[in-house]
Amino acid sequence: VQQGFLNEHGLQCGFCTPGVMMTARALLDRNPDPSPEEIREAISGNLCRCTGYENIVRSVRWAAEHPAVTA
Amino acid sequence: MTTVEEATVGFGRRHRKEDARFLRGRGNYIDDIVLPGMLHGAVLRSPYAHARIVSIDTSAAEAHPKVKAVITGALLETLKLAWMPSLSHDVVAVLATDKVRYHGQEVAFVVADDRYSARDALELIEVEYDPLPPVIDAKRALDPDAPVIRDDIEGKADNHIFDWDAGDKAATDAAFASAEVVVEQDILYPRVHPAPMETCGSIADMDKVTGKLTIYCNTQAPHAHRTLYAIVAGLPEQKIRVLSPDIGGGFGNKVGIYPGYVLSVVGSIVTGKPVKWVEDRSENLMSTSFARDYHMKTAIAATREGKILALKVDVLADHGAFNNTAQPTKFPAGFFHIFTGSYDYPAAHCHVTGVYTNKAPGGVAYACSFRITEAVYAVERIVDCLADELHMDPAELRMKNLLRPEQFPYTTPTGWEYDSGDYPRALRTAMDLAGYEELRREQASKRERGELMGIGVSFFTEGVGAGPRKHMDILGLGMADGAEVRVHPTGKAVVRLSVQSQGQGHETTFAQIVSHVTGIPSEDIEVVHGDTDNTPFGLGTYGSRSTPVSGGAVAVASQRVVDKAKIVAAAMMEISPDDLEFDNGTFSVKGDPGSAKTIQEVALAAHGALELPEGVEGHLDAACVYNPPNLTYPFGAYICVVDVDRGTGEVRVRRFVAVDDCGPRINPTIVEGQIHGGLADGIGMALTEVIAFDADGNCLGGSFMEYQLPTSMECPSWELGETVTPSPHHPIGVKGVGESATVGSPAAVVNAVLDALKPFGVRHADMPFTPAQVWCTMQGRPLRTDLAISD
Repeated sequence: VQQGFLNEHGLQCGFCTPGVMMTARALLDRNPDPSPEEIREAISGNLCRCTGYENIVRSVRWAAEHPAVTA
Repeated sequence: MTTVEEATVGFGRRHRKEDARFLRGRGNYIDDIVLPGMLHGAVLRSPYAHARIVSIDTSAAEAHPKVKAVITGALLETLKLAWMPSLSHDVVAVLATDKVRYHGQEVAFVVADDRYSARDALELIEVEYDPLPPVIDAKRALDPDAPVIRDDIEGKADNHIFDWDAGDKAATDAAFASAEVVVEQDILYPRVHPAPMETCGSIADMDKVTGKLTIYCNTQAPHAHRTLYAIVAGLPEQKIRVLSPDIGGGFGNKVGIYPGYVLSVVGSIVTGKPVKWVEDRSENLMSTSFARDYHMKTAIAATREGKILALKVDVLADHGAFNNTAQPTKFPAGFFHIFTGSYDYPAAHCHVTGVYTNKAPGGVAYACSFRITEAVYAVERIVDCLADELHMDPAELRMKNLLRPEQFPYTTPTGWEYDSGDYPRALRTAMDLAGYEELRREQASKRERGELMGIGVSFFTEGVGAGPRKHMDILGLGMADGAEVRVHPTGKAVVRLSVQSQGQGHETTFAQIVSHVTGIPSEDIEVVHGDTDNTPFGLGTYGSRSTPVSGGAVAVASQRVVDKAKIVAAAMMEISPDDLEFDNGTFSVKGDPGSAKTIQEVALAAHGALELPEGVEGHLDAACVYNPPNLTYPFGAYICVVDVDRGTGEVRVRRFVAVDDCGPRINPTIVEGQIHGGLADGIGMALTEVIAFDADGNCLGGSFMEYQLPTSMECPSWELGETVTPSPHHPIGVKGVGESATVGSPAAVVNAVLDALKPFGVRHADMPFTPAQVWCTMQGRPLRTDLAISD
């Protein structure tokens, strides 16, 4: 997830980022291959004022496409 | 979206240097900083919008076992600190002494061992108020019988702040008098708030032995703050150090000096301990710099064929209880007089009247480029109203009137000199990306079925990178910024900046600028900012000025480093510098690429024992103070597609196409991220965000339950395009982009919503288009969105 956020520029000021990444991790734990719509639904409780959310969605998708080697 | 790093030298997509700490939870924000012995402050705020203070009893609070100090306006008066200068030739109360002038104003400050005790002790302070009638509706502020808010100003008998004009009134009136078509519309840009995720805060640490005051503060402008503290508190400037840590978003909210910052300083002086003050969400929304609040009576004159002839705007500007807008001194309405927009016509005039109301002060914040947001909204809305009057397609009307590329540099009717642009190409690019004609066909068939779909177009010209010091200063401080570049003996480098990132990625972008000029890989370049003891002076980051101004300073300083390195390289190779060429970090003899010296080798030699030519000092460094010759003028074309639910009034943004031209893109990934964020702002302002007031002056936007930011569910997947028109006067051609999307997008969303509502015969209604506002607009009775008062 962290690598996804780095690669896809899923953060700017970084203030909301830990919370968003934890939400993303929880989502991926219950749904390893979420659609962009499912990601948006999952992170809809996290406010971000910088990114306009698009790159957060892409970051979570990246993480889904690159599952961690050790779970 | 590429995820690959394209290059280590120069411009291109690069991962951000700062992300390494943010992704590990190692960001260092103001509330993360803990100093030994640190105390905590809390502010008591006014429950009234307008009331005389009869008495304040702090004895119970002082008796609280964990309270170390209680500070009131009366105490500050003895220190001559009860009032501080505003950023617009007014004063601001640090703590109220005579009366409170807005809901949420600072009344007292408690310093305690911990934050909870400080908050608890606020409840123990007894304040007796004598409520006064408030001025809430800006349109009533100048009524003869309106209560006078600023009776602290000697001889003040009304709520008038200023009148200001730009453009040629006679020529504009003449154009209107003879025009075939005139369209008028009252347009409100309601009060909104930048609402960064991190609220404002500071820690003041007065060392009574050395007399040095260290202030940690999440300010966008650390150097300007230091100078203002020196002026406000009478402290010697060399004894003040302002440290700006990681900032959790700013958007203009963190430019000014708030009473809480000054109070943490006073608290530290009084207690001899570091004092931290961090506001909560409601305090941030209710008391810190709001944005907009412009009532714009707008009129456009045109021919029947749709050629625009003239534009005029009469603005009523609600500045709140103190005139504390942050903008260059000569411009009381900021850069609003750029309202002529992106179109070619000869006559324009604006008149702006500023008034006091019983609301929080501010006015220039939230990525507005000194009120260009309001200006772009006014012109882009009235152009749509004209299209409606003429039964013309709004994109076609714009295309017909856009400035043409051969007209640049173009001097506008109000005196701006736009540097460069190809506007029709940007609009065509956006229309192609959106599939504009197909969208119109889809809309036509949906309308036949009674479905509400809207397509909104906006075109904007921004003016950023303030600014030429001859014309632009803040409290007498010219808007030029310094930068220092130093190459170490091993060829690694450090660049020191006056500007301060709030998430924009300065540590990456500015390293890339140095890299672009010197050829040193950007990972070898450290960016230092946010520490007034270790960076050159400059006015900070707002108005999208970092890359246009400090980027210019860094580029020029980097070039000076290269020029110096060339002399050293020539000495190393025992030839004339004129025989050397420089490319990608390597000096070589013209025509003999094998004879190369890298800039890293030159750096070592510059620090070594090499005999240097007469007049050349050792080491490899350079500085620059960049005084911009002009603003830069980014521009763009935006198209928004919405669907409106006829039953609920809910607006769904289906698509958003944004074509931006900010000149060459230093790091395209970062630029795209900036644009994404600004587009979300536009959706927020157009659909949900507003700071409204009730009849008693209570702020109705004091929490995220009422002040609703867009979430991932309201934002579509942004569709970006670009054109690239370099600025001819900037050292590396870049124009700045931080606020472009916030400036350009609200009009596109609103134009789309009103386009969807066209079957109801409504030409205009004010944002935000909440379901309630959409519903009322459908009934032909749009609401006044800034007040919860029935007229």
